[in-house]
This record gives sequence, structure tokens and C-alpha cells, in this order.
Amino acid sequence: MTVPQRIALLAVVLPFLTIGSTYGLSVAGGHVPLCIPWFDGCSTITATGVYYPAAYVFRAGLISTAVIAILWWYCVRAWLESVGHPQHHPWVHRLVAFATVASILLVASIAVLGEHMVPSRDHKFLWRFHTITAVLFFLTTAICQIVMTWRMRQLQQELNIKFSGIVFKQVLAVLQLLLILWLAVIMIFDLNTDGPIEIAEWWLASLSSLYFGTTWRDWKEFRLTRREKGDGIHAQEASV
Amino acid sequence: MTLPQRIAHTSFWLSHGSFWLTLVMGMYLGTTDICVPYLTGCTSITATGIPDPQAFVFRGGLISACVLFAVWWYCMQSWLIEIAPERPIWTVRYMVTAGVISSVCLIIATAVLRPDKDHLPWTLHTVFAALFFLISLLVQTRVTYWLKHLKKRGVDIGSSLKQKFALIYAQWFFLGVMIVLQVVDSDDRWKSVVEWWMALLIGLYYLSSAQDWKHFRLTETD
Repeated sequence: MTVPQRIALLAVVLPFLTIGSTYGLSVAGGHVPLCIPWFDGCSTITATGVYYPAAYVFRAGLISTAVIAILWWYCVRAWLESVGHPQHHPWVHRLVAFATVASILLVASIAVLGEHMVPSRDHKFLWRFHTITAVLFFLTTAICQIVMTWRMRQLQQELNIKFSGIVFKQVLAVLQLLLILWLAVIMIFDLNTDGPIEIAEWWLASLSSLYFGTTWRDWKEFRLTRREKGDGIHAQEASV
Repeated sequence: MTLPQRIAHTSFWLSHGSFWLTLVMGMYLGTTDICVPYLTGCTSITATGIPDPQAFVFRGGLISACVLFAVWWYCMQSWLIEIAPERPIWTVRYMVTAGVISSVCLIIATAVLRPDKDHLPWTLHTVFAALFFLISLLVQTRVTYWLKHLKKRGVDIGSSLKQKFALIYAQWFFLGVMIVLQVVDSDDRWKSVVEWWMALLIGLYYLSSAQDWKHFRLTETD
């Protein structure tokens, strides 16, 4: 497995493992109810990472995920720049810069979480800070992934992305777009009852994580370093 | 500046920037005395990252820096394989694994910090922090000797070898001091002094490679 593939795999597995285990720990501790949050919306993702010991796992896993996401975006930049016209490079740079800032916001959002934020009415500033930074992360990452899908579609032939791969990316991008619109409608028309926002949060987080994983298959031949390139050539020669 | 150089700089400045910022915040908020902990040991690194809001900066900065440490080890391995005329011995080949293990140890040690000290899992924190220091020192020492071996064979390894040796010798010296302090059950102030210096030396080791990686590019588009 190449290094970019490992980064893609880690970017999808680490958040799922982290949130899965923090949800399990929070249910065991009696802090959140047992349900399927993608459908029931019985708990927010944040709520799974407030109480100890789940909070330890939550901050370690998700702050690491944010840095791995930055590395993933760096790989995407290198991958897109390996083909296509150089005049588009500054455009890709800007997009990756936005996505990097979004990941830094996730670090800030997670770093403030913990049992010290309970009860919430006494720590309104921290909760507001957490919410704003988390929303900005989801929004920016989703938009960057949607725009990136459009660019990947343009370069599908050059990048040798399989048809099913690009379709999967497009489905994930469109679903994220619909979820953002749904959230906007709920906020604007103040339709929030228990559930819809929580459900949207779980789906948005899952879709954006899954998106990171979609490049795993595309990056089979994409190697980050010259050493890896050398190994790849040797491997090909050996197989011939 | 190349990407590996940026990784080297960010590894140092992010980790130590977090330490220093939390220290200054602690002094400003009155949770720490105004002092130079490298000389007086007035506070430990851990103690600066326990109270809120310093803890937010501490855990955000240090956990992020830990992931960059792992990337730094990947850069080091790629660079060594690129410049070396021979395949490195297994201890060098597995340095990324060891580097990742040490980073994960520090992530665990940092993540378990919480403001209510009575409930903080001190044993877990201490064991994993100690493992980070030990594993990092072992791998840094192994790599430095491998660089010396390459230099003897006429390979251009950059200009930081003397600094690297000074940094690892100083770390072994401080490790010896720490063992003595533990055995004689010394005052915590001295242990804090050693802790601050060990962390600084490990960080400077990461930074020292920036000058060697001037022409080393991780990717073709770098």
C-alpha cells in the first residue's frame, strides 16, 4: 500500500473508530442513549466526547484526524498537479488552503471539549466557540470536497479515475450539498425539533470522512516520494 | 522552503510554541509563577497544560505536533534512503514505526490531561510521557550514528551532524540526571528542569534537519 493510500485509509478509519468507541463509552457511562444516531438523532457527535473517559479518546482521535486530513489535502494537491494545466495550480492551492484552515478549526473545536463544559448554561462562550468552529469545519470541508469533485471530473481521464469512483464521489458530494441545504432551511425557518440537526451532523461527518476514503482506490499508482516511485518501478519490473 | 523543511520547522514551533504560550498564559492568569522553568523548575510541562484555558492550546497544539513528528520520521526515512548508497539496516528502516509509536505515546499522555487533578490518570500520563521521551531518544540516537556511518562513506549528509550529536549526548546526560533524581527521590523542581530541557532538545533535533533538507523534496510538485 502506498503512503497516500495509507493516509486516505487513516482519514476514513480513524474518525469512524474514534466516534464509534466514544459513542460506546458514552452509552456505557449512561451519558447518551443507545440508538442508531444516523436515523434516530438521539445524540450529537459532540455529546459523545464530553464525558471522561470518552473525551480522552475523542480529542486524541479527532485532533489527529484533523492533521491527517491536512495531509490528505496535500496529497490531493500533489495528485491534481501531477496532471492538468499549470494555470489551474494556484486555484487548487487556494482550495487546499481553505480546507487546511477548516481542519485547523476542527482542532480548535475539539480542543475545548471536556467535562469542564458541563453544565452548558455556565459555559456558553465555550459551547458557542465549539459550535461555530465545528460548523465552519463541516461547511468548508464539504464545499471544498464538492469543488474538488468537479475538478476531478474534469481530469478523470488524465488521473485515470474509474467511472464508479467518480460516480461515488459525485454521490457523496451531492448528498453533502443536500444536507447543508437542509440544515440551512432548518436554521432559517427555525424548524428545529429534536433530531433533524443531529441526524444531519452524523450524516455530514460520515459522508465527508467516506469522501477521504474514496481516493484509496485512485491512489494505487500515485506515489508521494521519489523513493516510493522507485519501489513502484522495481515492483513492476519484478512482476514483468 | 521545501515541504520537509516546513515539517521540521512546524514540528518544533508547534510543540514548543504550545508549551511557551501555555506557560505565558499561566503566568498571566496567575496559575504559574513568573519564572524561567528551564532554570528554576518552577512548573512542569504537564502542569502548564492542566488548567483551562491553557489546556485548550496545549492539547490542540501538542496532539497536532505529535502527528507531525510521525511525518518528520517518514521524511527522515525517505531522505536517508534517497541519499544512501546502500539499503539502511533494519533499525533505521523501522524508524518510522518507532517514531509513530513514540508519537502515539505522547498523544495518549496529552489527551488524558484534565483540569480536575484528583481524577487525572497520573500513572497513564507518566508512563506514556516517559515512553515518548525514551523511544524518541533511542531512535534519534540510532539515526545519528547511521548518519555518521554514511558520512564516513563520503555521503553528503548536510551540516547538522555535530548539532545532532550534541543534542543526543545532552539528552542522555539529562536522562541520567533524571534517573539519579528518581532514585534519591529529589525535589520535583529539579525533575521539572530536566523535563523542560529534554523536551527542548528533542524538539531541536527535529528542527536541526531543516538545514539538511534544503534540496530534499518529498514530492515532485514540492
